[in-house]
Amino acid sequence: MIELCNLCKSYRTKKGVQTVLEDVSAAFPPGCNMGILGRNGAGKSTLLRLIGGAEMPTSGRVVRQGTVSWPIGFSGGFHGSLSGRENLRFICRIYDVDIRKVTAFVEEFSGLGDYMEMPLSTYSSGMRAKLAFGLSMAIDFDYYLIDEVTAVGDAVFKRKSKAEFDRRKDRSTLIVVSHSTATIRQHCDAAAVLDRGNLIFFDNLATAIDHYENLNGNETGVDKRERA
Amino acid sequence: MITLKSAARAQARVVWALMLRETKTLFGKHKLGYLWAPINAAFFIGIFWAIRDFGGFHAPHGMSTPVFLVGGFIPWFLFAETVTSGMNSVGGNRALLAYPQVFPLDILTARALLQGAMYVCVMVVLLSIARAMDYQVTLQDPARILEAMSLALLLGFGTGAVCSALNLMWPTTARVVPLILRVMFFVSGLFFSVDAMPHYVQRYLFFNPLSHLIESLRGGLSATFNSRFVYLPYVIGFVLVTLSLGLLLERYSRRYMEQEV
Repeated sequence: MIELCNLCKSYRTKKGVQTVLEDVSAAFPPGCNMGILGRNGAGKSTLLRLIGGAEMPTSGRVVRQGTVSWPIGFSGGFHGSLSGRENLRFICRIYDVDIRKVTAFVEEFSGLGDYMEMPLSTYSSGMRAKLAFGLSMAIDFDYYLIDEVTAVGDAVFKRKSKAEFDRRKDRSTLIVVSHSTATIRQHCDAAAVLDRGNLIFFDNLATAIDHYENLNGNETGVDKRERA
Repeated sequence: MITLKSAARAQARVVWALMLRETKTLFGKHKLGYLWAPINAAFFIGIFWAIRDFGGFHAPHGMSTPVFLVGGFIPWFLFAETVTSGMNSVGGNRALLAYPQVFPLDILTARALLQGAMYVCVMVVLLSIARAMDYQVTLQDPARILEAMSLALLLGFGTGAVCSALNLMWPTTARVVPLILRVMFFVSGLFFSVDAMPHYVQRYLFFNPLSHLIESLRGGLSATFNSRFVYLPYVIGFVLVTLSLGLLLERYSRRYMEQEV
């Protein structure tokens, strides 16, 4: 279970204090893949970073029971001059998992072959994502965070990762943020909409998507009027 | 359940992992790798040795010139490198902070420990070379050597933490600190003994904590070198102040870090 209790997040910018999340409370029970819809700049990625613990909330707290992954596909923690294998070793050490088991799994899953011994700087962005994704699968988190923007890879790999998520559905839970309803439909059992700092929950996927599409519809309507 | 013990264990694990990672990335791209640390130190010592020899100066208090210079340059490099690598530790590794168990202080600690280990090795190597060249090398007071080196490391760590935080708040810091270090290079007694300076010069050099450490270390390396200048309580006080200030600023500067994400 992951619980958000009265979570607030604001940043100080040159234009003044900018509030991204305003008193968000929520619960993510295990076993229910949750989608969070929001437009660009709504604070989706910030919310995900707060859930994962990469950032501290301005006030409120995040209670985690179980392990939480980094945003899937995130490869910023990799060092360009280290080989794939060496990068894996570092992450294994900080997560306190068996280096040999993880390396074997990632080798098999990512299909990187000889590239495991090459420095990361020689990798394409797709290869980096494969390594990062394989690694997050190998560590076996209870919760997987997916930020649509960072989840890359070719079509074959995407199918493979979808299959892997389906396979471990009973032991791990997804939290997906996206601005695309298609992604949410594909992965999630329930959804919430993040809008102007508030997270609104819905009983089922369809109503959430309806609400989100309405929101977008209104917004483009306003734009049109303003232009006219 | 997170206890103090499990938290300390996790932190030690992260620091260790970072150290292993840094050993690879610090010198990884150069051919001779780690040898560059002793080569760099030996190069500077060689230059000042030559200058001293040409000028006909002898090391004070009956110390041999190379050992005298090792006593000056090793704590200097330890301090300056710890400050510089500490200052850039957070900026250069910001992505690592996405892993919730990695904190800015861990990166700083890992780098400082690595510099400490490295310059102890460099000191051993250089003193062994001096010994092989038939210069008199005595570890007169090992406790004093250890004390001076540890304080130099802590001083570098504290100053590095302060600089790292200031660097996040004002990026100009990264330009100013090398200038200050350059000045310190000349006024810390690396290639002269503060004890041999006139009194009115000593009065100013007293405020430089590193000059005390260098003099103290030389005392540990020689039976005859006895500096009346060293006053360690001042250094310890200085170290405590920089450490506290560094930790305080580290907390405060976090908001500046997030802003740019």
